[in-house]
Amino acid sequence: MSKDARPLSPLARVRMRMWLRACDEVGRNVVLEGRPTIGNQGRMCLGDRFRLTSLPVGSHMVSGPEGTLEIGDDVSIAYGAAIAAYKQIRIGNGTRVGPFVIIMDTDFHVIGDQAQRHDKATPIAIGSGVRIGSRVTILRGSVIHDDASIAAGSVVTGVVPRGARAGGVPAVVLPKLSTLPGDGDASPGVPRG
Amino acid sequence: MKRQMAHLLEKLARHREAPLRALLSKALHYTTESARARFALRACDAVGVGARLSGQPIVKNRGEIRIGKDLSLICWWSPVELSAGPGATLTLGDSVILNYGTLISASKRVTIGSRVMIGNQCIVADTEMPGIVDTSGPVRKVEELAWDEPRPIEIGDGAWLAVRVTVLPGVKIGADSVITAGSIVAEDIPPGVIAGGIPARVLRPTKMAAEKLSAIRGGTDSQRRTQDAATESIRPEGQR
Repeated sequence: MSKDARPLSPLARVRMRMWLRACDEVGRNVVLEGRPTIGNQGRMCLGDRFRLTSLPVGSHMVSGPEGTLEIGDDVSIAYGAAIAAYKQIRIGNGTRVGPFVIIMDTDFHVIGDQAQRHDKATPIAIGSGVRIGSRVTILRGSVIHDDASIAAGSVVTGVVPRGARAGGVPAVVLPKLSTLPGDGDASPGVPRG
Repeated sequence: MKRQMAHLLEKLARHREAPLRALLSKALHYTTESARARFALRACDAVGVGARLSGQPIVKNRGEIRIGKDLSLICWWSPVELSAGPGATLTLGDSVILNYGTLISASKRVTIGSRVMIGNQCIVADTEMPGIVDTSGPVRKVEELAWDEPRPIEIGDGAWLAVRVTVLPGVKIGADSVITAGSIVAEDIPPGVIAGGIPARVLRPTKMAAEKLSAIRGGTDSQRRTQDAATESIRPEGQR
């Protein structure tokens, strides 16, 4: 925590601004670790205290000509992230995203025709306070409501309700830890269900 | 060189209507990317004309790697790895696209057909423990390390593996099939279907296959339309 609180040197701030120069709006106190790849053809807005890690594996954020990427305040995204917005991706405040997460609102290809691209894009909405585990893939049209948590390695394709725990390929809502039979204390970190 | 030029002109002819500036930029891209591909894929036994790449792949060839025409490797964020162990054959057909972070490892035989697309961070390996057995060390012998028997993998023409698909040893994926994101393919997949999940199960036929089927059966237009609606998306909703 002390490391987070340490103010960045002016040079580091300038460098980060330069790396994020393709973005339309960048909030205050944004922290980058390593250099991400930013490709902005549409609109890209980052909130305050946004944190993106690109070490040891680079992260990239891409928006297409008609794409919008909106990231709220206090969002942190770990390394190896791949975010592609060809329609709209919104990430709410305080959402934490683990390493190697893929969020893309398009399938990029069309079945049976290799040359044809960008089938159709469907917006993705991720609420506030969501926790997304490592190596999660979020496909087009997904909606993750506030305070939900997604288990590591899942593929999200649909709607995850508010406060739910979801996981699997494709992700389904898992029982709450505290409602499992014989589960007195809902201590997180114990593998169940 | 002559072949390369002919191929470049053939490619540019496809974009004949584009402005000259765009054509020149395309030609420049093509030339640099294919020159880099020639260098990066120099360990391969045969590389067809028109191979292109961005970034730097990892190629470990102790056996035989044969690549067809128009290979496209995207290695921007993490490298694509192609590896063939001693005596192994790794064959890629024409117009194969491999996205970043993908590993293709052959200890015996991996055959990938033409027009195959493989998404990012996929694993296609014919042993449970992919990668080349390193025999250079003083202690370990090949027999000690090669404990798992390689079983050949075959991926048919026009197949599409979405992101993070793992293909286990001994699996055959049929032509024009689609494997949905995050799946683990543990058993054979027939041609012309969409399959997904852990382990991957057939979800439904692809639109193309359904059309072909209904044409054979002589289905009516309205039937065909409902099939189209049912098969337009590749997301594995059918599993819920």
